[in-house]
Amino acid sequence: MLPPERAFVSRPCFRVVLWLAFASLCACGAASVGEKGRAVRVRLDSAELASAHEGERHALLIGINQYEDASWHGLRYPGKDAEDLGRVLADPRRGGFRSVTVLTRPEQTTRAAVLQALRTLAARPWNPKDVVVIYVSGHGTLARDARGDLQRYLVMRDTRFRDVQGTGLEMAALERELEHLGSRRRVLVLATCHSGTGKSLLPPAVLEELERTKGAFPPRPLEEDSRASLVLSASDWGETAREDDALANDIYTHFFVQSLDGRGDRNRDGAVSATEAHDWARRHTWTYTEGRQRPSARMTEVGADPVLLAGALTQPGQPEVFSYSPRLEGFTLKVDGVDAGELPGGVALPEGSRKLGLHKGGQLLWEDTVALRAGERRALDSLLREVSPGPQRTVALEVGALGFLDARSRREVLPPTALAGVGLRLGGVLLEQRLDVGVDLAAGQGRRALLLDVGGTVPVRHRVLMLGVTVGPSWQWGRLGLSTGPRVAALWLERSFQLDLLSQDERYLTVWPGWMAGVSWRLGTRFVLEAKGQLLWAYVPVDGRTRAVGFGGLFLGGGYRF
Amino acid sequence: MPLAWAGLALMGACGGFNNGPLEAGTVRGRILGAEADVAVVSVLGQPELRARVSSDGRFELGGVPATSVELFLVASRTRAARTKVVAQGARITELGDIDAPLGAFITVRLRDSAGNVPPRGEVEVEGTALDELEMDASSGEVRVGPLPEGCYTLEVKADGLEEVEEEVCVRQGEELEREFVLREDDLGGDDDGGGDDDGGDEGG
Repeated sequence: MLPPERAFVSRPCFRVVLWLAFASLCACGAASVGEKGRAVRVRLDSAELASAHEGERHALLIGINQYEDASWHGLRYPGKDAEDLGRVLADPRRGGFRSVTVLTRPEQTTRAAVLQALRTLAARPWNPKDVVVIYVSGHGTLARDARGDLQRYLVMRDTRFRDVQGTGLEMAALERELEHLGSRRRVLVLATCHSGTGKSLLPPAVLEELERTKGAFPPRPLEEDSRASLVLSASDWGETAREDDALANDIYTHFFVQSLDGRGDRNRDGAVSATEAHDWARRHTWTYTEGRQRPSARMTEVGADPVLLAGALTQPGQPEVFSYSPRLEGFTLKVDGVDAGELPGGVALPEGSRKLGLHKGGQLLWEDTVALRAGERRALDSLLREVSPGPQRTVALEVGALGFLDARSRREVLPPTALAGVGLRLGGVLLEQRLDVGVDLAAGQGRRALLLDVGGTVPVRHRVLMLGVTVGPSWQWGRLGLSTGPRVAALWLERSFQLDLLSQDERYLTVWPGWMAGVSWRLGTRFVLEAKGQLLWAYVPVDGRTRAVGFGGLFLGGGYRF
Repeated sequence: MPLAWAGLALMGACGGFNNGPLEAGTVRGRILGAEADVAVVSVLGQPELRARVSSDGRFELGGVPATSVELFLVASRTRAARTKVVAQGARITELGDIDAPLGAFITVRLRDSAGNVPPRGEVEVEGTALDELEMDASSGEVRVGPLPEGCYTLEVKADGLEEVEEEVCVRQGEELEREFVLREDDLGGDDDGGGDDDGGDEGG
């Protein structure tokens, strides 16, 4: 056992500032997190990797076994959890942390002492590349704050069951302390929960309120509000975090520590990142508890994950794909048609082009072939966004031609006219996102000759202005898209004769029904090439007699999606 | 539903197109040495499309179908020409100066089956302005011309006798004679082709 409040210094020469906040809360209730920032494609070679991970590593680990208020039942292993983790982090051959502070003694685990330790940690000079890990193992609970909102609290040694608000460590307060840390690589690990069972206890009023609540667990999960880069929880929101006598640890913590000896190095790059460690612990916790405890992870800077907890990068690792997004939770990732794991989580893959697919309940959500290179980490969320068929707006510039379908009308009434225009397509705005609405405006003119029935030709200048509205469904297969639907177009036609014996303009304005079909090909996330065809049907008066004629148009365009 | 679409289309429609003015044009030119009192320009095959010629030989023939046509021109009492032209719709086609050569003449002699001069005989060159050429009652002859070189259908008729048609081809300046024996018309037809009030002899 490590002596309490001992700072382990493994590499004195490093300026290590580790922003890791571990709060193991047996959170009770699934949560969604609003993603901040955009997913990025990360491609690093060895030198870049080494450079990216420069910085010191620091940890503050808190384990609380006993509580002054007897209402909180004692826990067996929080202190050991913190010490076991601290030992691994401080080990130069594994964590190599510059400093590891472990708080387990009674006087070290009061609310004031913990806040003071956080402020002391914040007082260090920090580098944005430093890594900091904050780990908490103990009871969690829920209580009303001063505004009456239900909040999550960490139970400190001196927290009173009847006055959680005044004596517990509110997660918001912990957040504020974390804000003072200058590192961008912060990991908060919560080995607690707020379910009212296991490593948590709820006040009777709160418990009664929760029992009457049919909706989601009331207070928003920590991950939703956290500004830490990475929040790892021993259990999902609403579930119970458990200790286990056979393991002599919090179950999640046991496997988390286990991963740091190198077993968690999924991509074989020589280091264990925070998400690798979590995925290892998550998978084994799930198995060990037979599915009753599902550790969760939320990342606020999806994709970067430069937080290394053990080892050092020796080579570009195998390419990885991952997702910790709640919206993909429960999906199975298939690689080249073979199950590779369930989300959230990540997998390491052989280098090269891989066919990735996301499946759920036998249905395919998405599939694409992705070229993966060594050292690359791809967020599945960003891959999906590239081809997401969700509500989209596309504005496009188009060129094309419009003319009568029958040769006689083209010959005698109006030749085909080249058009240029602009179109706006609003995806999924009608019928529960099933139908798109498109509006287009095109204009053009030309100078051709009419070939009259009697045999002569007559030069004519002709102009066309078309304003159309199309409503219809669209489908997307990878980058290829199809759309179709009925259409109504207002069409203004003009032909002008400036001849020896005739100086005259003739115009015709009508509203025509028709049909449109289009095919598109996406170029990246924002740009799209489109080809559209449309058929219209109309009555056109010619020489005092009305002709029922068809009108057809072909357009090519380039669009911008926003 | 289709009716609704049609109604919508018709309700929103206004205007239209008219190709009528585009289907005919005007042909203009000048005939050298024209005699205004006899000169005439017509469209071969459509003799109703004809125009007189001014004293300086200029003419303007309107309503000519916007296609390839042949003009039949009588320049003077002895000269005539045929010329092809592609008329342009709603435009003026300039032919320039036309120097008509000597025309051909056909002397048509009319007789009934008894060898007598029939009453009120007439000759017409189909498709040309040379129509209603009255027979000289004393000689029973009609001098038809001038005709530009080419082939024509002569239509010969007289009161109470059957009408006779014959195709005749002439060369430039040629003089021909043709005798037509008209049989009695069993139907008693009289197409009223001949008038005796103006006594004009286009053949001069």
